[in-house]
Amino acid sequence: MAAPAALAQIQAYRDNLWLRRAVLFILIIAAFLYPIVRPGSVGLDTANIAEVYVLLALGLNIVVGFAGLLDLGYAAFFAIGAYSAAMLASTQFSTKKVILNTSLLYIGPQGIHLNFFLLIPVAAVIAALFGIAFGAPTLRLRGDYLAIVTLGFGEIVPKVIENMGTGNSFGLPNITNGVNSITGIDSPPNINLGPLHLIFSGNAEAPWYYLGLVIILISILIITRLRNSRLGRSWVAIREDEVAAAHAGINITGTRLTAFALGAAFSGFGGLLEASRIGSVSYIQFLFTVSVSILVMVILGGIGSIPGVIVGGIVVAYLGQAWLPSLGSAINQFGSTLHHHHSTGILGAAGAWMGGLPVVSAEPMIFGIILVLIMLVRPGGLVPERRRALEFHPETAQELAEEQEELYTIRTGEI
Amino acid sequence: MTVVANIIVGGLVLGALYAIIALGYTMVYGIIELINFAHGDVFAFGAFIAIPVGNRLVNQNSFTVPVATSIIAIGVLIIFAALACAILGVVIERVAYRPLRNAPRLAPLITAIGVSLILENALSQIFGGQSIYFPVLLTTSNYSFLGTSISNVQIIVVVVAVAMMLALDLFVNRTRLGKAMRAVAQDREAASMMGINVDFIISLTFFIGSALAGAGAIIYGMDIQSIGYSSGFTLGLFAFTAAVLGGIGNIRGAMLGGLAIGLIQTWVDQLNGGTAWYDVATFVVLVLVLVFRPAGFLGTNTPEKV
Amino acid sequence: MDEPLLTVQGLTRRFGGLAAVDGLDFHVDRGEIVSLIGPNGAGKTTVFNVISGVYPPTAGRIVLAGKEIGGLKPDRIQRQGISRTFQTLRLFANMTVLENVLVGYHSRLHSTLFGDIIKPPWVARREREAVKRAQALLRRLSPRLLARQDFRASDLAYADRRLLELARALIADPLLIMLDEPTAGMNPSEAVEFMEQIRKINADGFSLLLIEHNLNVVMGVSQRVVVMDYGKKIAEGTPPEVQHNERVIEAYLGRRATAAS
Repeated sequence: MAAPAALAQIQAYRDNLWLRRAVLFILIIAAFLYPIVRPGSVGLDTANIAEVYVLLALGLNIVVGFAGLLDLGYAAFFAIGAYSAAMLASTQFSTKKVILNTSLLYIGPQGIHLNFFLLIPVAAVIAALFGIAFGAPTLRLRGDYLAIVTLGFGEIVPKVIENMGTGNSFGLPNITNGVNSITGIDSPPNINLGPLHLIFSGNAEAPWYYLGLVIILISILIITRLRNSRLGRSWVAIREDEVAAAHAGINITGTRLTAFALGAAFSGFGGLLEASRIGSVSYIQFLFTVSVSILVMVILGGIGSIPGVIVGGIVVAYLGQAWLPSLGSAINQFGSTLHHHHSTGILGAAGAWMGGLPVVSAEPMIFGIILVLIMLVRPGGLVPERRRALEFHPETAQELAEEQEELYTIRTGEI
Repeated sequence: MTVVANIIVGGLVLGALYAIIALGYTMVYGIIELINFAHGDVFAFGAFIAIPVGNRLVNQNSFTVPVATSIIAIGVLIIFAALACAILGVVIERVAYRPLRNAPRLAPLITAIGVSLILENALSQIFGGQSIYFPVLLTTSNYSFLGTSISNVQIIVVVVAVAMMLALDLFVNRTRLGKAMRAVAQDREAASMMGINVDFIISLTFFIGSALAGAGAIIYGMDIQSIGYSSGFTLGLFAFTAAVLGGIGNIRGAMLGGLAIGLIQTWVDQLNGGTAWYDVATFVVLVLVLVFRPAGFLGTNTPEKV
Repeated sequence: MDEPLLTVQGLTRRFGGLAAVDGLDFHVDRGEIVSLIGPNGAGKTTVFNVISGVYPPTAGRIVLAGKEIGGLKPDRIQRQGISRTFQTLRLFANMTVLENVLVGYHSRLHSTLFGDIIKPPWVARREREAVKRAQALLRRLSPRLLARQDFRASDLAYADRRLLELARALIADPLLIMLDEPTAGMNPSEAVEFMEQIRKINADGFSLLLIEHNLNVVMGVSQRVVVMDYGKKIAEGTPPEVQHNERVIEAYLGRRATAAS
């Protein structure tokens, strides 16, 4: 049978620490070299979008993958991170007189401008606080109810943002600029350290790429540590058997809340990066479809798997930015040339149909098909996490276990 | 006073619509503990495919319809939509949910979202991204009621909703098949050991729930008169909230919950005049109910056996 | 210590109109092994569930080493010092043997969020020590289990899984361990082995409260036996005393038997 052999091979790869480290090293080097090998703003633009997606996917993975909580409104935290950046690093909130004018923080007639690198933890903390606020009353609900409630949060947050502009129905001052976007968001300060020159103030995409890459690498480090810690273990225990976990001394709601807040924090990173790079934010960027895309990244890539969701984020980014549009125009062009050469008949009709086929707008359907197919055929995702791979294939796990038991008894001569 | 009357009438009618959709949600949740996210989209599907058929049955250019044509058109469309939705519902269950019956809880939820996305996008691709109009099937006439007016269409909505609830209630509580459904809802394994064909019963549940949604779609079209590709999902969520409010798995609860949500939404909507806060209000209600009284009005809390 | 380790006073738990536990009084002294027996449906597991915090008592008190613990949540009760196993055997199926035991140590292994992320040397050391402790416990309970420490819990043989659940309950050094039908599904030789385990654990200083149907086990290890029927205590005493108690016999054989005669 092919399956256990393949799984055993994957197991062997996973067990070989040095092989994994070598592959990781090569991947990191390749990532750093990418802009040099493929310069050009279009390619890097997509890569930068992918970076934000990867951060978001890593964050949602903590909630859905590690803690097993289905969050259908994750874009809410993305919005909160982005809008925190918009409010603390732009001209949105200006005071009449200069209140503070230090190099790290300025509050005055030109708005609030917090240093970007300080803003990173601040945006994360703000998002995490919202995570705690949303999660505290709701995280003890059952999985499906929690899913709907998070969906609700995902709907409410953009709605509230949309309605907190000028002349809003609450009678509050303009906080989020309402239906208009907040523009003029700061970029990070230019970095000139020795040979390193990252100019953010211009139009170049490369500095953003490197900034994003560093944030992602640090995030991966943090998340991996968390997964392998006592906290990570308690997440798995809760997923496996909540009652037994509680009886082992684990505070279920508190542990889930930690996962939720951490997930929100990474969304905050992503939101900050996005807001700063694009320079503006609008509530439209954070609707339900965005929450769905992030979920697709996690499910497609591999629920609970750190390399998996990274792949998922990259795939979804390139799908939407590059592959679907290319496929779309290819089909459309083929269709119109076909129709051009055969103005009547079946070929002509087929050509006309293909010429007008809206491929790009079918993205939600493609996402839907991906979700259904993955769940039916390969629930562990493209790059499954080891535990889950066995969870979803009990027959394979059974075979592996019997192999293991056999090997053990042979080795020790025990029965 | 007219404001209150308007809220009552509006809330009643809207609530009846939600109740119809909620019935399908509550039935499916009661039997397999799944929030069928695609249910709202099945509802929308019913409305969408009924439109071209309806346009052939009535004169599209006139607001008055002869009574005989009305009866025929409404009857045909209801049967057509109910059947179409029922088949769609059963197919979805067979393809996307049944294989995952023993999978971890997250899995069918995710496929449900996936199916919902597919349906919505399909509707959007086939029928376009804008809302389209439902053909007029009935000459509207208004009656005075509680100081405000209510139309015959609105009365039909309420009557149909109540009739559906009564019929379903009767079916579930008085027939053999209904008893089988209740058994499967309580304990699937035990029911199958008693000789009940669980697969068939579950498919039947989806069939009935989706058929009700399909019929409801025609009623909806008669009242609201337009539908967009994403209307189904949103309506579905509100209907699900209604089902939870009334007590998930409980048929009468779905009716009660639908009424409550309809009234709340109508009230909130006229409070702020213009700003659409009713969806936020509905979700706030959902969160409050789930946090403070997850069993809803008429539901029972079933604790897990340790 | 004169004061009992665990005191249950007037414990009542209702479900709707039904009192599954009705005015129950009993205690467990330090170092004792007490068995809770009774026919099916007597309410024994409900007693465990109330003590371990699955649901609160409707009335009555539960006192552990002088502290009132009635109504607390399971994780707090575990931290107060009561561990338990389950009638239906609740392991973390997809975690290894070692991981299962380590989870049991959760409340004693302190860590903070920052500690987990930054992982300074003392955090790493604590984790290593926890692993050593878990391995030592496994070695003491069953070298078989220790040898299989990297096996998935669901891949173990049934008796090993029961032992694993026991190990998980033991590792945090609880004051009292509650075992809910630990020998259910075991064959006689496995049950005898398990009795040895119980005696070993008791000798190490742990107090035990057992629910058991296997009367050989009950008679073999318990110092005292509490008998329940229909939620109430109907007898209490040493194993031989209880064995010959008329009410106990009647409860087990059923009133029909006595009525028919």
